[in-house]
Order: sequence, then structure tokens, then C-alpha cells
Amino acid sequence: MAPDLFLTVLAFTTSAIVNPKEVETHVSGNDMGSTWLTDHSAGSGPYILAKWDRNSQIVLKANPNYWRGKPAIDTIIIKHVPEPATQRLLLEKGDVDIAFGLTIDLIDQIKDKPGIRVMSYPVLQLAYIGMNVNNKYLSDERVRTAIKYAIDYDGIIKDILRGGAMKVQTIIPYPLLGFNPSTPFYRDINKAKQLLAEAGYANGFEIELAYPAGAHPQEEIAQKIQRDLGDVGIRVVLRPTAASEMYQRYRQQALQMVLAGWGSDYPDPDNNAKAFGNYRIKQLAWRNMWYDNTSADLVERAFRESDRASREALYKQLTEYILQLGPYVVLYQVVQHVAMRTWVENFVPDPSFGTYLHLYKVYKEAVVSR
Amino acid sequence: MALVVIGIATIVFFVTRVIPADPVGAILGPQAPPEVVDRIKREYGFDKPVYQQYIDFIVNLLRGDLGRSISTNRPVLEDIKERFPATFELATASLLIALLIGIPVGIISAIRKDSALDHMLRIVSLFGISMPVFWLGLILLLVFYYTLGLLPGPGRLDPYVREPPRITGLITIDSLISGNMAAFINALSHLILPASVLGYLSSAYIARITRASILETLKQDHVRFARSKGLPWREIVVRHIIRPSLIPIVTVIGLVYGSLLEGAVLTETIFAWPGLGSYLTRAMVFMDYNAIVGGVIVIALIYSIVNLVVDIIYVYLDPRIKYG
Repeated sequence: MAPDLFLTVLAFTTSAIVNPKEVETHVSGNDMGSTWLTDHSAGSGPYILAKWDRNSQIVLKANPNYWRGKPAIDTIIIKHVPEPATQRLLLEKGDVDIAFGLTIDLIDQIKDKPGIRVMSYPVLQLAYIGMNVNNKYLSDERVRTAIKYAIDYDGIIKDILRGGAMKVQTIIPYPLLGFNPSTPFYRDINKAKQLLAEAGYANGFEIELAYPAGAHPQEEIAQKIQRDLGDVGIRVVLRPTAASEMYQRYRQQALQMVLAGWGSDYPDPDNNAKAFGNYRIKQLAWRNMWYDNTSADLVERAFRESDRASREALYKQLTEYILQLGPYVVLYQVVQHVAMRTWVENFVPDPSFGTYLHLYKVYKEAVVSR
Repeated sequence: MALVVIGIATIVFFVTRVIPADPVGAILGPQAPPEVVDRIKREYGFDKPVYQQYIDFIVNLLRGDLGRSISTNRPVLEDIKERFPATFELATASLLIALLIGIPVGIISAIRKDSALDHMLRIVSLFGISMPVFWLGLILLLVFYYTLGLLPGPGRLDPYVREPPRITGLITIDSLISGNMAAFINALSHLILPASVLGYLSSAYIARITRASILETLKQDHVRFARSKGLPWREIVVRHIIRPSLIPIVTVIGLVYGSLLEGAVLTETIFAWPGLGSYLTRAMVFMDYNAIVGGVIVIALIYSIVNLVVDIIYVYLDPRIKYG
């Protein structure tokens, strides 16, 4: 196993260190203390979980014994405010300092207001279309390439996501090792039509696209893709499906085309490479029935490669291979926005889409009058 | 009542199992490997045949165990115990506001039928029925919290207020019991906006039924007789009109209260109110079998209890009604 990969996973939240003595006193049954840990801290981080009122708030207290010293802020309250418009009112009023859940419309409305600062940063999440290669039409590489040329990527990014995305077409997100900035596909109707004609589908065909029902911006994107592919003669039937049902059918390899996303489970290229490239572990490649051994072997070699430069070269080869031949249209990488009061200092955003907060250095500038 | 609850539980149990969805997959998300999905399915017993799951479910239900929620990984009963007081507090405050508005409006507009006042009141209550709750909620927050600063923002209590110990789960009652007046006033002021939204919306139904019911009574012989006797109008209204009109009104109040107690998703969302409505909605989105069935059982119980109370009130209102 590559040492970089091992260290990355070790340093990530999934393998957080807890005090065994403390946890062992709270074991019930064979849960290894996990029930108790849901509501208590036994780690060595800068903050301690003081209280968790489900769906209401999480209260964190500064850890006086933290190895780098006690953090500047005593108490941090993470409030559950499901409605974005309410979050905006709270932020503008100054009753909250940081708001994570604002929609792009709200971000646009407040970003220039005095006292408010907006940070935008890419997170390790890709949106893609999966194409099941068991399908009669999608099994043809020319058809898949035609679809890649039929989609208006810039339109999706500029008009639908409006700042909520960056253009990425390869399977490893920025800025991980092996990120490949190549974006060769752009909307070219003639080229797409020509490829379809070569494949014998000059008159197009009908295909289903599943997406999570009622989800935004997926719904808007699915409609846009229906129009884009319609322009080259591919008649897309939209199948909005409840997420619980969609993923079950996806796992059963039962979807034709699907609009979905992949967030990296740990910040190392291995995670995305495995999911998209190695059918043997039964993730995305398998669900789209892309049983490609060249790709799977590359993923496994990169997993074992201990030299960083050689590993990077392997990922370059892999991303290029999947970009051209893989059963995916990678549409974009998600860009997240966080709005905060200007009195918040040293906030460091984390690309792992909000599961990890770096709060040790955060502090608030003294506010004289409000 | 027990039969009603078991019947409803059975229907909901089978409806959730018939839908071709995979609750485990939905919770674990698209990335979980199949081994993990299978392991969690075994843990929750979803791999057993449906009849076996049903038997387990009924046996547990009779023991008062609603199973574990797969999305919160806690017993459903614990979740509901945590959520229900918030909903109960809000629903009761809303009902009080609805009654304070609905009944007088209904009476006045029936007695002054077709006057300008009647038309105005009817338009106001029509607004109540047709107003989108999220719009009204946000506007009230914008005006009373953001612009005027008269009332607190969303949530049940401000973070700087010392929280009362959890006794009933109703913050207003708990703070009174523990003598924490600051928390009582703060909790009460947090209730005003969401309860006004829900109360205003519900008052429209109550006002309409009150008006219709009183108009109906006005046409009856005993009212004409009372008037011909020369009784003062005020006395006729109070003694001969309102009381006989109350039966349909009480019925509607029962229904309104029942539906308020189910929780109100949109109001809860806007006011960050941790109630039953958002819990159930989330359970449905994730096909959280046990939480859905448990939630529906609780709602069935609430309706049964409210109906029972309404039936008892009938007896007091109309001496002719007797339950044998």
C-alpha cells in the first residue's frame, strides 16, 4: 500500500483517535462504546462535545488540555437551521457568525453587504452521468463519446450552478495528487451527430436518465441534459426516482443512465480511482457494468506504488484512460460557499464537504457596538 | 382504540414494505460497499421474510418497543419523546391563538351577516386558508425579528439563556416548575411567531365553521321564539345560539388540534423548531421503516385521544347525547 495513502487515511476523521480507557468504561454489549461516543467526546481535539440536542444544536466547549493550548473561543454552538432564508436573517442580524447552508441566490444577495464575507472553495465532490455499458446503445464507445460532445458543460456551470461548480472532466478532484486538469469535451453538435451516424444511430435512440427526485440542482441539470442530447437526436426519458429507490436500482446495475455524484471518502486519489476505475470492488464501474481490466489493473498498481512521482504518473494514465473510454461524463466539481461575519478570523474551509471543521484557530475580533 | 392503532400500524407496515426502496442504501448513501449494506440489513432484521418481520414488529409493539430508527440509530420511541414536547408546545399555543381569533370572528361575522364587517373578516380568513405558510413565516421573521427586533429569531430558546432542567420537555412548563423566569419569558417569546403563523392559518377553518354553524342555528324555531318573547339580543346570542352551535365547532377544533399535533413541516423548518413534522418527513424521504411506522402510530394515538375528548365534550354540550 502506498505510504501516502496510509498516512492520509490515518489522519482523516474516519480513524480519529479516542482514549481507550475512557471508552472501555462505557462499552455496552459489543458496541465497543460507540453508543456512548455518539453523545460524548473521548478524543484529543481542541473542542469537547458538551451537548447534542438532536436537530437543534451541538454545543462544543474548549478543551483546556489541548496539546497546542486552549483555543481562543470558549463555546461554539452549531445550530441546526434548515431554512436557508432563516440562516440569512440570522447572519445579517449578527446572531450567528458563520452560515453554511445559504443557497446561491442568497449568497448573491448578501456577498457585497458590509460586515459579511463569502468564501468559496472547491470540495472533493464530483457530479457525473453514469452510462451502463450493458445497454445496447451505450455499449458503443462512439455513442458514449457522442454524448460527451453533446453536453453543454459551460451552460450547466454558468447558468444552473452560477459559481457553485468548477469545470472538471476527470475522475480525481482538485487538488488531490493525480488531479488531471484536462477538459477536452465541449458542446459540438456536429461532431456528436457524426459519431452517432458512424455508430449507426443517425436517427438517434431513446434512453432513460434517472436522478434523485426533487433534488436541486440535479433536476435542472437533468432537464438541461435532456435538451442537450435532444439536439443530437437522443431522446432522453427523465426518471426522477426517490433516492432510496434509485441507489438500490443502481447497485443492482438496473439503470441505463444516471445523474449522480461521488464525494471522496478520504482525501486521497485512491478512493475515486477505485470507485470509478475498478469494477472488482463493485462500486461505480461495476454498477455501470464497465468490466475493464486495463483500468482495474492501473488502479491496483497505483494503490501499491510507494513512489509518489510514479504514483502520480499512474493516476495521470488512469484519468486519461477513463476520460476517453470510461462510462462517465464528469460534469463538474462542486464549489461550496460559506458566508460569515467579517469579525470571524482564521476560518479555514475544509474540502471534505463540511464533515470536518478546523476550529482551533478561529477567533472573533472584539465587536464594540452592534 | 388499541384495535385502531394495531390496524393502522399493520397497514403502514405493509405499505412501507411494498414500496421498492432500500432504506439501508438510502441512509448509507451511494458510496457504501454492498457488504456493509448487507451487514446493516441483517442488524435491523430487514433481510428476513416480510411475514417474519411483521410478527417481530407486532410482538415488539405490544411490548411498547417501536424499533430503532435507521437514520438516527436510536430507538424510535426515544426520538419521538424528544420531538413530541416541542410539537405539543407549539400546537397548543397555536390552537389557543386560533381559538382567540377564530371563534369571535366567526360569531361576529355570522351575527352581522353580509355587512361590510362580515365581508372584511371573511376575506381575512380566506387569506388564512390560502396563504403559503413559508411566505408568512419568513415575512413575520423579517419584520418582527430582523427589522424591528421585537421578538427573538428561530429556535426554542436563545443560547445565552440558562436552560431549565428537562422535566416535561415543554420549555415553558419546565422553566416555571424550576422557577427560571428568564427562560420562561424567553421560551414564550420564541413561541409567539411560529404559533401566530399556525394559529392564524388554523383560525380560518374555525371561523368558517363557527359562522356557518351559527347561521344554521339562527334559522331555528327556538331562536325565533326567543326573539318573539322579547329577550335581549345579547342574551339570545349567548344562551340560545352559541351553545347549540358548538358541536360542529368542537369537532373542527378537534381536527385542527390533531393536525397541529402531527407537526408542521414548513413552520418547523422556517423557525428551526425541532418537532415531529420534520422528523417524519425526513423518515419518509429516507424510507426509515421503523420511524415511519412509529410516527404514524403516535399520530393515530393522538387522533384517537383527541376524538375521545371531543366525544366527551359532546355529552356536556348536548344532554341528548348519551353513550350506552
